[in-house]
Amino acid sequence: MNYFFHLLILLEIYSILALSLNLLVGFAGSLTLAHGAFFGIGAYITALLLVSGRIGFVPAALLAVGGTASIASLLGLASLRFKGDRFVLASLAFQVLLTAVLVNWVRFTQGPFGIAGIPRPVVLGLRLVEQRDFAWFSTLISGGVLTFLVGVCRSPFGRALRAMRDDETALRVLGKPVIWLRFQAMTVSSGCAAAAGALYACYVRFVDPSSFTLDESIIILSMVVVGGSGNLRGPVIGAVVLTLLPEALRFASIPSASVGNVRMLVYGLALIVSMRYRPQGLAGDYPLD
Amino acid sequence: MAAQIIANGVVTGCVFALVALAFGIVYGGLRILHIALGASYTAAAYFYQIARSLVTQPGREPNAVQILMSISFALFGAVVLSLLIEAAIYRPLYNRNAPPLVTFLASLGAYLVTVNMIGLLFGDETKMLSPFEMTSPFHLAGLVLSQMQALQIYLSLALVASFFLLLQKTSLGRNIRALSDNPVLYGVFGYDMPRTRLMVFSFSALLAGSASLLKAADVGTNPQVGLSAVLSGAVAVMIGAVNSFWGVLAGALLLGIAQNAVIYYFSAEWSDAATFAVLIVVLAFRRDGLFAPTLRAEER
Repeated sequence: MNYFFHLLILLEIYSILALSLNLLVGFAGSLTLAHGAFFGIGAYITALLLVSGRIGFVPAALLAVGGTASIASLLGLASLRFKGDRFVLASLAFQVLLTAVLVNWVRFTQGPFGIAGIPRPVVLGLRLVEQRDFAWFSTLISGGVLTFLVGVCRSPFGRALRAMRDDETALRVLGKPVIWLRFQAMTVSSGCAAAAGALYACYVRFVDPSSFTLDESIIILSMVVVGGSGNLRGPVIGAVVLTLLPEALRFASIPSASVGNVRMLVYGLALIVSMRYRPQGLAGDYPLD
Repeated sequence: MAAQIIANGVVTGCVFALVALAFGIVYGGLRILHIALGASYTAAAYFYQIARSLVTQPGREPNAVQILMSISFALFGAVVLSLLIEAAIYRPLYNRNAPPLVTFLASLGAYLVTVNMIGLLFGDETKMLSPFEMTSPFHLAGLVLSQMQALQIYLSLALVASFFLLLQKTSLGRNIRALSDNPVLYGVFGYDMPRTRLMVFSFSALLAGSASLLKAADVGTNPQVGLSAVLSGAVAVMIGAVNSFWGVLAGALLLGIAQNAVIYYFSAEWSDAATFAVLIVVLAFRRDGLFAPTLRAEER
């Protein structure tokens, strides 16, 4: 039963990540390889604040969202200038720089050892130590974030983003601030990723740089493109499929040393097959360009 | 000390230049962000190990002939892998006229599959493959270079020079340059696009494989080296200039020097970060690279 709750929490975290990345990839049309970094910044800020013990989960998570969104706006600045291949490389640069900071800025992040002993949040005087209790809590939080994301996607703002993806010039002619839209999409998306990071930090109670590397960004991106970008069900389906697929390997008695390799192998194959046969993803309605 | 840093940077930059040229002919000619080049890069070093263990008796050091045989096998393997990726992944997407980002994601997938396969077969740890004992460093005008560094400089300069001659003086090179210049027109004139693509991928794997062997002989290899090498190559192309031989070369040297300066003044852990910091700074000021010719708006 605990395993079921574990899967549920993982699915919730990855649904937030995939759906928020979808805002950039599927709606704003800028392929980003830095979502693992946003996820990581959120998790680290939450972890540091909670370990210091002065504030509770909600203010810590809010600070994490705000902090991540402001750091991500740096990358947003880059997105104003670059498009296509150059933006992919710029986002990759952001990801690699962040990993370097997490590993090397030892005084602040404790380097490769990571931060351990993150306390679980307290709700109504009850510390959520049990798996089941935390699952309720995370369902509540991620339900809120997901509702927010769905609202953003359906709002006039989301429609403007889709219009920008389809025909930027036309939108510019209509007098929409294209640059500002892209910048906002980056901020909102990274803020949601930070909320997922806050949940992750509290759930695992340990953060280290290896959870937020380029591999993580690739995993989240695979979820979006394999599931299908540009609508609301696609990324969630992608998150479910690509979270459960490696979990199935758990029952295939693979030696634990090679689990990571097999997992990335599966993601690589999923990417190749879906790009070859279904570039719009399992349930997407917008093929990438 | 500054001179020594620049000297070390030039050595690193020469090896980068091979990868950058390999990435550059694919990116310039075919507009593919060819991350799967990292697969050929990584695989070359492992092919070398397989070949060396096949041709030498256990417990004996390989002689020069055996080393040459292993090197040829490794490069051959890298080329075959590259052609396989082109035939199985890029070509169908090209025939379907797939957008560049779809090709990029498929390329990323191909890289992940190859590299994790290698990780499963050989393990993720770093393996040394120094071919022969290297002793006494060179002293040249107050600079110290290890024999391996000298070998890296000689061989990579020789490869770069022969690649330059190939591009400039042979009809094959002319074809590749024509393809880079204008892929659509190249097809319209009735040249054999599929064949030229195969040649582009072969040469790209050959250059990347050589770079991989030169690097692995010095510091060993692990399945992860491919990505960081290709990214350095890609950055060198972007900060130099796409489709400009000398621009790419200058970009690679600049990157090598920047990395070595960072390693000396900070630490080796920051060298990847330095690569991308250089990328962001350069692109922020010159979007088409430092050595790109200034184009009129309608030429872009």
